[in-house]
Amino acid sequence: MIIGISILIGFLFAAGVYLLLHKSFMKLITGVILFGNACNLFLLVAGGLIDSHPAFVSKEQGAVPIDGMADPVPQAFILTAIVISLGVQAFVIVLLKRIYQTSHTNNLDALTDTDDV
Amino acid sequence: MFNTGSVYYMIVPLLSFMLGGTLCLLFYKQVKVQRGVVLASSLIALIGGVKLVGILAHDEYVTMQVGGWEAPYGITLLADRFAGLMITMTALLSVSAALFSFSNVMNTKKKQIGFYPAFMFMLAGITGAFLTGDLFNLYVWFEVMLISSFVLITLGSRRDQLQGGIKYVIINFIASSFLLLAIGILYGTTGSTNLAALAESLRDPALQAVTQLAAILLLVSFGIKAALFPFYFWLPASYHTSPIAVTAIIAGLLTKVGVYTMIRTFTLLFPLHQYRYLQDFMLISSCLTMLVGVLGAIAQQDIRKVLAYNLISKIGFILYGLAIYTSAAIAGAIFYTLHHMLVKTNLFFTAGIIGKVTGSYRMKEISGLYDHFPCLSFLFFILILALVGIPPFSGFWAKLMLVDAGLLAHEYRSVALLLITSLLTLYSMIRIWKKCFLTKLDVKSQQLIPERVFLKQYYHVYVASIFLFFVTLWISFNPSWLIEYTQKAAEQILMPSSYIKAVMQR
Repeated sequence: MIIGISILIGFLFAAGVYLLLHKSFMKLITGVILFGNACNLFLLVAGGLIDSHPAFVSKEQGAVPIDGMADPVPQAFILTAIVISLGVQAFVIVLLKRIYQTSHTNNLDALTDTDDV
Repeated sequence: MFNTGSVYYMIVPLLSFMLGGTLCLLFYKQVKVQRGVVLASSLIALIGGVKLVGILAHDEYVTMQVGGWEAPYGITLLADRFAGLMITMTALLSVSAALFSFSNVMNTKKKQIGFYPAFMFMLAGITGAFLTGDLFNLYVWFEVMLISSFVLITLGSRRDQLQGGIKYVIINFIASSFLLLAIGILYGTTGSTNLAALAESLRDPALQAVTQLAAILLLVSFGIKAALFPFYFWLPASYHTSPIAVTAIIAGLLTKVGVYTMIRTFTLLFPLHQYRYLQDFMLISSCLTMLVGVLGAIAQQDIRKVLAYNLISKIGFILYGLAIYTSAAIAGAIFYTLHHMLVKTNLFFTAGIIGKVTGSYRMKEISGLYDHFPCLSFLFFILILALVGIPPFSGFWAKLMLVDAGLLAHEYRSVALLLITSLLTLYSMIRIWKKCFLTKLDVKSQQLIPERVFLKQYYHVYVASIFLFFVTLWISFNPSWLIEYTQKAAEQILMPSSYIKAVMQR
């Protein structure tokens, strides 16, 4: 399972970077989303992936051995990271809309006003 | 070391910025109230910061475990001497930027409303990044700071602002993602994100093979934020577009946070002398940063862009100190950081005054400032001397410390490059001086308003600039205590074991 998800993460990163390097706004947004999600999945796998033993303990159980249980900390990290990347993605979408309104272009290579000497 | 009073002084700057931001949001429509809140919370933060520096002069560390959870499980806040100095400087800059922004940063009132909350939250993020002793917490503070700075850079929605803004947003998103990847790797191998616990586990040579990857990811992430050589292209594309009060504070502070975290990680987690290839990379890259930055500055025609490129070149100076990795060199790097924060922010302030007076930032369109604006000319000229490092101004002491440390480490070629870079910096700044100040105003062209009239209208701007100017002068003529303090801070930074002890003891 870890190998499968690792390959998936690799594909997500590759697709994210590929899309980020494109000129079109829409592809840029998709690239940002894929890249962010690849990072989140990477955190999950790097923190040690344990399936079918969720990090929940019911009250009746009392003290239970924690061996073999999933580590809740990477999940907490991912939750934080998802919220933050969602915020950034929303901001990027609004920003690109405003750029389209002011610059009337869908081509990132045309946004060179600030680079002129 | 652990008396409760000192903990409050550490937390005061952070809390006052956060509360200030919240209050600004509450008084969303009343810009005057917002201004009062911003100035008050900046002053409170400044008092807290100065007290903290005073406490740290005799105490080694001030630590706090948030919520009472012991390290490494809780979130640690920790201030050492370097962090104390940086927080004080942040508060100082925020006071002056608040004063500067009173003279209508944005052209319309509607846009001005959003400025202060974002400004305050950015400062809270910066202070948090200086204080935190936890890598994931650092990521969160970084995001607080970055998202606020996204708002600040694009506030106003002018065409060039948006175009610069999108580059800034995307590149910083990538940089933060790299930080997140490094956190994942470090947590997976050591089971902790607390900096002290990480530093302890990373001493194990068996782990080093895996954590090399994390070291490189952190280098890239912080390198992008600090505008190190191969990663600096976003900075000149975006920094100059926003209103000048925003540019000044962002140029003074944001890249320095990247530099701060770089110094923190590559002394505590990955001591550079154990990672020779990283040290070599850092040395070469900082030298190239100096050179490429200053060459860019010479090529530019826009005053703000000249300043932005000079900023990149000075980041090279600071990281050169880290690359040498002796206590004297890191002391020089810290001194240079403090000096540069003051001078660069102030130079952007004066550039803002020039822009306001002449209505342009292009060197070709500005002339005759010396005849009409003697006070501004005086400020600008002294700041050029301070930036370049002409004795007796603060830049001289900073550069002296760096050159001295470089010579002691037998890095003669890079020291020569550093001195050549200073000379070229002088050239790039004197170009502005000669073109904008010394040339006579065309008889046919529109006359400038007299400085007295301008001063009455925009006295806040001058107050902000002169305030920072006096701090620079004070450091320039009274450098010995700061040199001693930075030397103590550098020795502290190079002793990770004392850091680990301070966090883990309780």
